[in-house]
Amino acid sequence: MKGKKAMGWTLSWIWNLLSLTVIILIITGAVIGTINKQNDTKNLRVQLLGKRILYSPECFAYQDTNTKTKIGTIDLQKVSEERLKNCFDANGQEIGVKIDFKGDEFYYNQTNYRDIAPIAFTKKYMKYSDRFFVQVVENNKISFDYMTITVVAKK
Amino acid sequence: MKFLQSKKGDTTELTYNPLFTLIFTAIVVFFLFGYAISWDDSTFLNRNVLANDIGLTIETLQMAPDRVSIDYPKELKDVQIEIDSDKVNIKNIEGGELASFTEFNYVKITGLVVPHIKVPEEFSTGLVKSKPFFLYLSKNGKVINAQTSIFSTQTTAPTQTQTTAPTQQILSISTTNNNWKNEELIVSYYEANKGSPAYKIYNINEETYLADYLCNFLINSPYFYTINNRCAGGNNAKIKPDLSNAILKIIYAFEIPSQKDNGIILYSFDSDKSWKLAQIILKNLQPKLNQLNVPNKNIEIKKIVNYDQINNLPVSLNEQIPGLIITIGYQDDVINLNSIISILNNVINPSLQEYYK
Repeated sequence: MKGKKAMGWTLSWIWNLLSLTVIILIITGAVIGTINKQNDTKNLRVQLLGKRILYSPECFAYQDTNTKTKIGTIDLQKVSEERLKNCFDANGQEIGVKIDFKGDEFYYNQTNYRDIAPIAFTKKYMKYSDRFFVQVVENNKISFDYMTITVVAKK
Repeated sequence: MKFLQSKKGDTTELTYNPLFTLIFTAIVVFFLFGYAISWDDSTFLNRNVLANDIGLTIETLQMAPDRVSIDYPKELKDVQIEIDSDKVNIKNIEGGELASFTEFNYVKITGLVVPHIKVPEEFSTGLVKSKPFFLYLSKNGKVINAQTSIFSTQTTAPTQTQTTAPTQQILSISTTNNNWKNEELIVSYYEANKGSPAYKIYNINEETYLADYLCNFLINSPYFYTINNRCAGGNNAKIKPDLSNAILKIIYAFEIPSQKDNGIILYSFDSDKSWKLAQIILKNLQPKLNQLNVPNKNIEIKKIVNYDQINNLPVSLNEQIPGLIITIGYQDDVINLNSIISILNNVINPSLQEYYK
């Protein structure tokens, strides 16, 4: 009888220990998860990628004769898929970019874009899309137009 | 209720069970408090946020056109920040352990260089340990760099005038991998001034490109590999086209001496290892200066500490940040060049062996 009691006592302690450990792990996991979610900046990063197209002279941004970059001004001669490839150098990152400009569509990683865009609403993916009113320079002539930039990426 | 029903044997249970429970609970509470205090102390949380924030700042710098300089508006302490092309590491200076790190979705602008940056480097010498410092990030052309400034008494962020223009910033560029002791040594070379007469050298019977000549010479060297696209002719077997394993790169830059010929200069990037190696090479090269048929035999070592120096180097670095650059003037003939390279190789190899010892 004593042996059984001792065993029961030990078992109850094991259960106590296990249940307490599980509770601690769950609480800790929940707290860390919440903090990480609060700190998640991936959506912001996708925005940065999209805006790079307008901001960077390596992409579409116009540079004047003094090589000063005009942010938000598009050099029409630069608008091409080839330029997009040069603009982004995605080290294995799964991103796709689509530009709608003057009735044409320009893609970077078109396959990625078409794969991800329809399911970008899911938790595994993210999407940034914005329509910009831009100044366009062509042969020193300035005009205005809209450019829609859509970036999709895997989280 | 058990107490009332208890028999002789249960007395032990009733005495020790609450006691063990209390002790166990006290231990658990103690560790949980410690854990909670560590969060309050921000060691985990703050550094995680810090890594994210610095990563984002760098991504923003990549996006920004032209020259940009950012003062990171937070006083930092007890951490060392390491920035590579694909991650930001925040290290705990006390234990040297990785406290937190984040990878950013690194999609770089083509040609943009993010050299390995470790700030502040002074921690390694213990000079500024535990002193607060500020971080400045800048993008200059296609290079992102970082510097720190230590303010032992000042508690507010420095003004814009104190942060200096990018040209005055101190760089901290290490070799691409600090563990190059166990890696292959790769020697590259650069033919200075493409298009100038120095680009070609003239043998007795044929005109040879300097690059090809150096290429063959170095490929046949028992010690070093060479890397250059121009090396493609006939010697593919020994060419290492992948620069990712290049740990220490030494670039020879040969130039026909001009009025600005400053003699032989060993440029070391701002890394303790490169600087130490440069000192050994200098020591070993000095006795052999008489054998070198160069117009100016002055020799010195310089540490590259600011961006202007990089721009003024006779080599185009692009993405290749070497450990050492040796610039040397030479007379425009192949025999002399042959002799100079032989002497350099004969100095560098034992210098490396001496360094490793």
